[in-house]
This record gives sequence, structure tokens and C-alpha cells, in this order.
Amino acid sequence: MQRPSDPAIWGDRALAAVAAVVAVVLIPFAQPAGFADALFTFGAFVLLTELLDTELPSGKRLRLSLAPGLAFAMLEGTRAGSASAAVAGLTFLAAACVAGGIRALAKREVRFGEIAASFLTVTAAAAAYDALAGTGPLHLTGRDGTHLASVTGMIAVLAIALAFEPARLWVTGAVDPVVRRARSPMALLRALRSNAALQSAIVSVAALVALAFPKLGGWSFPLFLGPLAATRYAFRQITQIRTTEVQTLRALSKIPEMAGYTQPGHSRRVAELAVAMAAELGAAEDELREIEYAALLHDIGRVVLEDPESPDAAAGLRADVATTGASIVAAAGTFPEVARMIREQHDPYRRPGEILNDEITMGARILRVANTFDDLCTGNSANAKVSPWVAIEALHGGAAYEYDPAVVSALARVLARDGVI
Amino acid sequence: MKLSWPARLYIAAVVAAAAALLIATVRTGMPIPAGHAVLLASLFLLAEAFPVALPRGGGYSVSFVVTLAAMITHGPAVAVIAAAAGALNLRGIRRHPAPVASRIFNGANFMVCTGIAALSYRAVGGPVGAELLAAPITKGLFPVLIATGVNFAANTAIVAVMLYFATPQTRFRNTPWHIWRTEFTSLLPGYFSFAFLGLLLGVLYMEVHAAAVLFVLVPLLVARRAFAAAVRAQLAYETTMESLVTALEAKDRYTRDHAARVSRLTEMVAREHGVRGEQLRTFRLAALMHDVGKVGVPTAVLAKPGKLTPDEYVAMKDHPIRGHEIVTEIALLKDALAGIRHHHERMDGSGYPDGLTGDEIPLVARIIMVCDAFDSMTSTRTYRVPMTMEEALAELRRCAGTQFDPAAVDALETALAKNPWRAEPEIERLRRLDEAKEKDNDAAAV
Repeated sequence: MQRPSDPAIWGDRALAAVAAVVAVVLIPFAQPAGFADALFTFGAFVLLTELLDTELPSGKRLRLSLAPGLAFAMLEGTRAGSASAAVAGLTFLAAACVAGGIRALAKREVRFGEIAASFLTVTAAAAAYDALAGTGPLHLTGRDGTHLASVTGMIAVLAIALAFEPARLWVTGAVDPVVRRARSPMALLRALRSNAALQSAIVSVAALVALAFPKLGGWSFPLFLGPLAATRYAFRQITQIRTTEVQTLRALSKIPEMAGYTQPGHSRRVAELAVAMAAELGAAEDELREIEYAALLHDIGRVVLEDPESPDAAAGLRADVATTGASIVAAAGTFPEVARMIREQHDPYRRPGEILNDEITMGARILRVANTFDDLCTGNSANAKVSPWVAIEALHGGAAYEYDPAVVSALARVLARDGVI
Repeated sequence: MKLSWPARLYIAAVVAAAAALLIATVRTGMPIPAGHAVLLASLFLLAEAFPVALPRGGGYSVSFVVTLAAMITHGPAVAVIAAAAGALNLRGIRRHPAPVASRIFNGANFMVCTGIAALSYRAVGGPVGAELLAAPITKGLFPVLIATGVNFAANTAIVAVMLYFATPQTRFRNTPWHIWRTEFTSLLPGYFSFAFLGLLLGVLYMEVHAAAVLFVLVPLLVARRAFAAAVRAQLAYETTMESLVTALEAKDRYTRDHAARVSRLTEMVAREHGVRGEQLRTFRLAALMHDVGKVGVPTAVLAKPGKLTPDEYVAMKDHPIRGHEIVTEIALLKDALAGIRHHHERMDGSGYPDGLTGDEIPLVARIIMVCDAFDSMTSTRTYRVPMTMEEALAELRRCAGTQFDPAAVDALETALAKNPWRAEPEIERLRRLDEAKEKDNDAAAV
């Protein structure tokens, strides 16, 4: 759920406003001169690829429409002086907006910020190509000697496409769905790195289409869409697997609750809180997932150890729950970090006399604070139910020995933002 | 591995066919430019070195894109020569160098499929080289699709027969037709999407520059990486779930690995019922989780040797409902949830929790029921020694109609005849228990 105060929404709106201004300025320059066919074909494929716009497992978007957009920016033979950048940009924008309308009618999410960012990228790329195409020494010519493309211009387009990417990620907040509110340069770098392969595939396809279009015409689009569509299919599969994975773990996390060992919904609340805190602290996508899994499974050891009739966990048993849970997860061999977090879930941050217990992973420290907070707020046999204020107070009291002060502060920030305290 | 005589004869036949096709294609009289042939052969090798992993396991390379480009730019002979490079096979050259026989077979196989495909391409009027550039692109499209279909059919048929000859000769050996149907039909859509790419590659190669071909490789390699990631994620998910469910069962140590075995049996039986693809996966997962509701039942009840008190019996009888409740939010299992809820129904309606009869019981539940009973009977419980597989099957057959679905019992029997299956004997079970305990201790010590 996004709330109106979410900066990502403001980023979207700001981008859309800039794009609107640019579009209005460009309109007088746009004079399509005798290449309406190409315009129509490109527009159609921008529309189609916009409809295919997909959210990736990481929450980032797969902007397939940049491929036809950038191809159009590099297209020779449809050049009409400086006007062509305006034509390329406005064609892209018009097609993308139609696609956005269709998506809205189909009740699918439309991010106008993404459309605006792509529009600005395409326009800038086309302008750069125009400016450099005539000057560079390197040109690709066809078999029959026709001029196909300027290598200098293509490099400029590539550079612009790559340079606009961090700006887009930053402004639209697509850095990470959970991190939308907490934008750190580290998170941006990680997002860029995980996007690099896709981005280069999209740019390569754009170059291919620009080279092939004079000969193949509209046929070059279905040809190039093949591998990109296959990639999209693979990504959707990954998304589906991850969804099932998290649903399954949530299901399994209900077992200790149904058996009466813990409060109903405990694991799930701890997981939500822990993920928000980790995001606040700048964790990467994979780390967020591991923390969520560890939080969901942190009590799973109880299932094997106890019977429902037996009284609630004594101090000695807590350690058993942690090690048993950890060895259950470790046995799977797929998530060693999750197992480690579960094992260390009750380890104090620092013992008196020690300088720092570096041995404990960040995930375990977060899990410990989130777990204790939920225990305090819902109450169990060991303590009475207290308000979030009192719980935070108690955690602050234990900070620097029991809990990592940075993690406790992160919890306070998350709670303040969500209006809990 | 020592190859059997039929397998060797088969390889010899494929090699002979490859030689015949090479001669036939060279005699079509098209020029064979050496430089281009070498370039295309290297591209072919490159494509072979990076196979595309498939979501269902295994992989195939995109080398067909290159042979297709070769046949439309330079004709059949150059395509067959480029395909011959397949015998070199760079893949796994350091760790698992392929045996000579398999290299020869691979090269010959590529040559045969490419040769037949190229000749069919020409036979249906496919334009080559300058003809293609002069003609509208639509003229090349239909022949390319024909060539793709022929290549696919030839390649998969040749490999299916090879797999047939390469598997040991037992009563349960699958026919080549069965191998083809189960292993290869899912590859077809991918094959055709790469066919279009081959056409594009050919045109670029001629129109622009051979270097433009490198642009084609980037999206292909990215697609490959995405598929590999999907395969890894799928494997990780299934391994994790099987391991977690197994560990949770450990509380009741007499059912250790029970869920994993029932899951495998269910997959085998469902396959006999014609269940395929995604549905087969959900059946397998439902079977894996069929007893999660038991995890909340007190240990004392689960492992109790004698008769249960009424209260204990209620706690026990509730487990399908609890299990259903636990997994109900797993969207993927939506259709298979019924298998968890109803795996203790009986055909005559005297089962629990809902007392369904006959066909009212969903297929997945009827299958899990039989597999669950079979595995329980053939493994040790506190109160009795395990039955042999024959005794257990006889017992299932005796109760077919009243308790079990006769069709599911038949399918289990067929599945057991086709697949090697061994119920876990007591000794093995104890050894594994000890091992697991040691592992737990080690983990705790770390």
C-alpha cells in the first residue's frame, strides 16, 4: 500500500509535470515529413511493449518500450533536421499514454512517472543522435552503400540511456518497493547493478532494430521481441515462485501459533516489522527476503521441541528453540543466512565488558528487536501487554547491551512513520 | 560408460546419414565461401557453449539460430559445414570432457537435422543470399517456419531414439515415443521464437555487417541468464519445502520422510492419470503438505501404540481440516487444497472430515489417499512391522471400491511397475535417524 505522503508518488508527479512541459515545448517543432508509416509502426510497438510493462520480483519495472523508443531515436532515413527528436519523443509519449489508458481501463497499475521518464530518455537520445550523427568519423553502411547509422550517434544514445537510468530509479523510487521511502546511494547502486543486464539487452535490441528497420520494416519488431518476451516470461516465473515461497513460509509460520505456542499472527507481524526496519537500515533486496523468511520461521523450532500442554518457554528452552529452528532451516541448505539469523535471534548485542559482538548478523539483531517489540505489545505469559510507547521505552533501556541502538532507532523511525508512536 | 551394440550401430547410422547429407547439400551447387563458413562455424560453437536452461530442467542451446542464418545466407552446404562444428563442443571442456562417441554423435546429429531442414527450406522455395534481400521479407518467413519444424522433428526424434538405446535394457524401459512426448514437446514454442531470430540474424549478416551479429547475442545471453535464475529459484523452493516439511514431521519420528515419499508416489500416480505440467507440480506439493495439520497434534497422540481415547481421536481427526487451514493462502495450491482436506475420505462415504463419497472426492485426494496408505503400510510404525510392497498392494486392492478409488490403485500398481521404488527398510531408517541427529548436534555445536 502506498500512502499519499509516499515520496515515490511525488517523484512520479514531478516527473510527469516535467514531461508535460517538455512535450508542450516540443509540439511546435514536430513536423513529420513523409515517414508517417514508420511513425505508425513504431507507435504501435511502443504501445504493445507498454502493455507488456511488468513488475519484476524486486519491484523494479521492465521497461521493454524503451527498445522501440531508442530504436526510433537512432533511425536514419526518417531524419528531418532537428525536428526529428521532437517527433520521436512525441510519438513515444502518445503511444505510451494510449497504452496507459488501456491499462487503466483494464484496472492495471499505471505509473505515469515511468512513462514520463522513458519519454524524456527517448527525446534526449534522439536529440543527441541528431547532434552527433553528422560529425563522427564512424558510419555503418549497408551492402549497397546506403548509410545505415552513425556509430558516434549510437554511442551517444547508449550513454544517454545508461545515464538516465539512475535518475529514473531515484525519482520514481523504483529502487526497491520496500525501500521506496528510504533511498540510499547503496540501494541505488545495487538496483543499477541488478538492472544492468536487462538495460544492455534493451539497448542492444534498440540498435538491432535501428539497423534492421530499413530492410525489414515492421517485421523487425516481432523478430526482436522474441528474446525480450522470453526474458519477461522467465522473470514472471521467478516472481511467481517467490510469491509461492513467501506464501508457503507464511503458512508454515502459522503452525506454532495454531498449536498454541505463540500469539496468533505473531510471526507475520514480526516479519513485516523486521522487513521495514531492514529497509530503513539500507538492506539489499536479497537481504530483505532472508530477513522476512527468518522472521517467519523464527519460532518453528518450538513445533519439534514442545507439546501444546507444556508451559511457555523457559529461558533455557529459548536457546533450544533457536538452535532447533536453525538446524531445521540449515538442513535444507538453500538459505544458510536465514538459519544463522534464527540461531542468533536471542543473542545479546553486547555483553558487559565486551566491546562489540560483531559475530551477530545484522538480520539477527533486527529480528531480536522486532520479536521483543511484538512480544511486549501483545503480551505473553512472561510479561503483561504494554503500549508501543512503553515497549519502545523498554527497548531503549536495553539498547547498547541487549539491543543494537541503531536497530532500535530504526524501529522508532518505522513506527513514527506508520503513525504507531 | 560402455555403449551397447545397438547404440553403436545407431550412432554409425546417424554418422552415415550425416555424410550422405553433406554430399547431397554440396551437390546442390551453391558456392561455399570458406571465410563465411569458418565465421558461422565459430558462431555456432559460441551458441553451443551457452545453452539456455529450461524451467523444467535440462537445457538446449540456441545454436539453431546460427544454422538457420547460415542456410538463408549461404545455402544448405555452408549450414551443414557450420553444424559439423557441434562435434567440437566447448561445453564442460575442462571439468567433464565429453566422450568421443558422444561428440561424434552430437556433430552428426546437428549435421543431419541442419541438412534435412536446409533441403526442406530450398524445397519449399526458400530464398538464399541475394534472392532473400531482393524479395520482400514475407517470402522468407514461411520457408523458415518449415525449416524450423523439420529441424525440431529431426533433432528430437534422433535424440529420443538415442536416449532409448542408451538406457539399460530392462522391462520398464520407456519407448522412444514416450521419451519424445515427455521430454521434448515443451521445447517447441521456444524453438519457433528463436527461428524468427535466425531470420533477423541472416538479414543483418548480409545487409549490415557480420559484427552486427554481436548485438543479437546480448539479448540472447540475458534471456539465458533469466531462465537460469528461474530454474534455480524453482529448485531452491522445492528443496526448501521438502526439507522443512520433513523436519517438522521429525517430531513423530515414525513418519520421518513419509511426506516426501508420498509426494513422489503421488507424482508417479498422477502422471499415470494423465496429469501434466503445472498441475502435476501442485499435486506433488499438496501431497508433500498433506499432513501439516498433524504438526499441531500432541506427540503422545501421534505415536500412541494402542487405541485412542475419544478426545484424542477428535484431535487426530481434525488434522486434515487444520492442514487445509494452514496452507489455504498458498495461491499456487488453490486447486490442490482439496487433496489435503479430503485425504481421509473413503469411497463409501464413511471417511472424514466431510464424509464425501466416490467421485465427490477430488482426484488429487483420491491419489494422495492411496499413496499415503501404501507408504504407511510399507514403513514401520510403533504397532507393527512393515508389509512388503506386494502385500500392501494386495491390501489396497482388497479395499478398492469401499475405501480407495480402484482407478488410483491400478495407477499406483502401473506406476510401481514402471518406476524403481523401494520402501525404506528399518535398518536404513535407523541409520538415517542417527545421521540426522548427528547433523543436529553438529549444527548446534557450530
